[in-house]
Amino acid sequence: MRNKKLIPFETIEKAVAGEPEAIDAVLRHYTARIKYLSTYRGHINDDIQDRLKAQLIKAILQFRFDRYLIKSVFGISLVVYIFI
Amino acid sequence: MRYSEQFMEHIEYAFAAFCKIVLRNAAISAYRDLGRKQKHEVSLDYLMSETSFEPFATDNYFEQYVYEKPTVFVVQGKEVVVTSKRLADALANLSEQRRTVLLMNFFLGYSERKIGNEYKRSRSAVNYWKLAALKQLRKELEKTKHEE
Repeated sequence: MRNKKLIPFETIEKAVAGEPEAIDAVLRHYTARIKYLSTYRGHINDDIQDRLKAQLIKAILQFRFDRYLIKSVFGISLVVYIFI
Repeated sequence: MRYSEQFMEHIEYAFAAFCKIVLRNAAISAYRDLGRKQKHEVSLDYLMSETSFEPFATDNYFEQYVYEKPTVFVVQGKEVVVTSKRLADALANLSEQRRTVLLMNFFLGYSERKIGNEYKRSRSAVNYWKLAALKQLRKELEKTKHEE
C-alpha cells in the first residue's frame, strides 16, 4: 500500500532527531534532484551543490511532525494544517 | 510514541514535499546570488586592456646601488653589503675586531659560541665584545644624528 519511492517513516524520524546516518540516507535519496537543480549553464556547479546540501540538512532538522494533524472522516484522511 | 499507519504515510509524503520545496527554493536563491555575482564580474583580460595605468608593479631590489655606491665589508671571505651610508661610516669607525663580531653576529647569523670558536675565546667574551661594540656604535650613530 505504501509508496516505495518515498523515504520510510523510520528514517525520517531518525533524520529529524539528528542521526547522521539517517540524514545521509535522505541526502542520498535526493542526490539526483540536487544534481539536477545545481546545473548552471549546462554544468554542475559545485558551489550550488554544496549550498543545496547544507540547506537541506538545515531544513531536515527543522521539520516538525506536530504541525500536521490527520482527521479520519468516513475513512478518508483529511489533512488540516495547524499554524503555530 | 505510537503513530497510526495513516499518519506515518502522510508524514512520508509531507516530508518528501517539504524536501523538494526546500531544495527548489535554495536553488532559486543560489541562481539569484550567482547571477548577481556574475553581473559584477569582469574578465581580467578586459581589465588589462582597458586600464590606462599599470595594473601591476614589479619591485626592483638593490636598484639604488646604481646611484650610490654601497659599502662592502669583507668578513670571513664573505661580502657584507651595507646600504645605509650613515651605518657604514659608523661601522668603519669601529675597531676591526668589534666590527667583525657585529657583522658576523647580525649579518651572517653566527651564534656567539661559533664566533668564540673562531677566535678561540669563550662565548661570554664574545658577548662582552658585542655589547661593547653596540655601545660604541650607538655613540658613533648619535654623533651623526643631527646631520640628517
